[in-house]
Order: sequence, then C-alpha cells, then structure tokens
Amino acid sequence: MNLSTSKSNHELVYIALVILALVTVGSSFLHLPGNTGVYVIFALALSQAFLVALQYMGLKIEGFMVYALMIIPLILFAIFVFLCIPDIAHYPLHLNI
Amino acid sequence: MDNTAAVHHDEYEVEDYTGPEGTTAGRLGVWILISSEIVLFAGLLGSYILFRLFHPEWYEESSHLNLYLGTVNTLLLLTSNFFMMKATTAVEKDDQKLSAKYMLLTIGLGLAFLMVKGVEYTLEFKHGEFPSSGPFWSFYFLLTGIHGTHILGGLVAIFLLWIHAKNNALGELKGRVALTGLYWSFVELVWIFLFPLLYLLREGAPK
Repeated sequence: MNLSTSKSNHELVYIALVILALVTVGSSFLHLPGNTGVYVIFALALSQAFLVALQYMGLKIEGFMVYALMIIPLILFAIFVFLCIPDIAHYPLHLNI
Repeated sequence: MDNTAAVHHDEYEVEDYTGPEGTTAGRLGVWILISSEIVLFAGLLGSYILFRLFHPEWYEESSHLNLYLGTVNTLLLLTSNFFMMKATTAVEKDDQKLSAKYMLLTIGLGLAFLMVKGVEYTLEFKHGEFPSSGPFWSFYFLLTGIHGTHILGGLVAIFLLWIHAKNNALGELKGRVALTGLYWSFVELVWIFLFPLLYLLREGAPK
C-alpha cells in the first residue's frame, strides 16, 4: 500500500471528477436512443462514485471489517427494492395519478 | 500491505489516528454512520428510481429544475471536498495553519452550495412548486432537503475543527479532521447520484 501516492492523487482525482461531471451534464443533451442516455448517465455517476469512494474515502486501503459493514445496507437495499417492485408496478391502479 | 493485520489493539483509539491507514475505532464509527446513511439514502433513491421508471411523465416536472444552478452546485461540492482532502493531508503533515485555510475554503464552498440551493428553492416556490405539488416535487424536496441537512451538519463539524486548527490547537483532535473528511466525501458521493437522478434524466422527454 502506498499512502503517499493516494494523497498526491487528490488533484488528479478532482480534475477527473470535474471532467466526468461536465461530461454527464453534456450527455444529457445528446438525446441518445432508447434508454442509452440513462445508462450513460448512470455509468458516469458510478465512475465518479468509485473515484470518491476509493480515493477520497480511502476504501481501497480499508480492511475487511469496513467492507463487511458496507454489505449490510446493500443487502437491505436489495430486499427493499425486491419488495417494492410489485407495489410500485401497480401504483397507478391504486392511486390514479 | 495487509490492512487487517494493521489493526492492533492500541490502534483502537480515535485520537491516535492521523490517516486512513488501518481501521481505527473512530474510522470504524464513521463507517458505521455511513452504512446507516446508505440505508436511508439508498431507500429514498431506490423508491425514486422505481417510481420514475413507471412514471416517465415526471420528465415534464423535472425539466422545471434549474440545470445550470444544479451544475454549479455539483462543481461547488466537488471543489469543497477537494479542499477538505487537502486539509486532511495538511494536518497529517502537522501544518495546522494550512489545514485551517483549506477548511475555511471547504466551509465557504459548502455555504455557497446551501445558498445556491436556497436560490433554487426560492425560484421553485415562485413557480408554485411545493413539496405538496406532486410526487416528483415531494421526492425532490425530501431528497435535497435531507442532503442539505447533512451538508449543514458537516459544516458545523468542520467549523469546530477550524476554530482549533487556526489557533494551532488541534492537539488530540487531529484525527477528527480525516474522519470529518470521510463524512464530507460521503455527502459528496450522495450528491453525485442525486444530481443526475433529479436533473438529468431525459427518460420520457419528447424526441
């Protein structure tokens, strides 16, 4: 592990984040066919999130315990989404919005 | 280096912590806080995404948001977090005065973010958009309101550290700078998802 390298990367990470943010905004004007635009925006957002988590939050040098901690909310989230899908799919039938 | 091996009993002291090396008690505590926050934000964002998938007509309402102000806020928060990282690095090099300067920049940019958000809210209220105006606006005000509250909380924490750092009196609080930086990065991470989801999704837009 090279901590000094990760710290000297702050400037590079910042520049990358700004570029990715601007590209994300720009891509929203492209009117890509189908859901391609949505996928592109999510891919760019995920790239930014990984950069922040790995470089700024130091996730790349964290131990097993932190990763184990992160699994719990993700499992809860997956259960939540799974349980919500049928309800939301029928939402217009119930509330007529 | 094996990070697990780096966790020794004597490292489980918050005040001994001066960097993101190993898993100290303070750092573990902040990660527990973050994991609970993930449950909150993932739940809200997940609900919003699912609703949005089934209601592409929400594009009409989201197109009323001010994209320029949203983009400015994104850049403000990115820059604010960058300076917080610089403040952390400065403290680790035992340069508290420099760290205080970076913290002040972080606070200034964080306040600017809240001010821009306030301007956005004002514009939306003037256009008759309130949390009760519909499901999209309920989600919008709830998500950005909770995120703004987290910004405010982070700013208070950074301000308290700044008071000590500017007097070269961080002492045992040095480790808290990195921990606050970790929290501040998480707040930025949430906005990285909030911004495109609320402002940029064109699904449902006329071709």
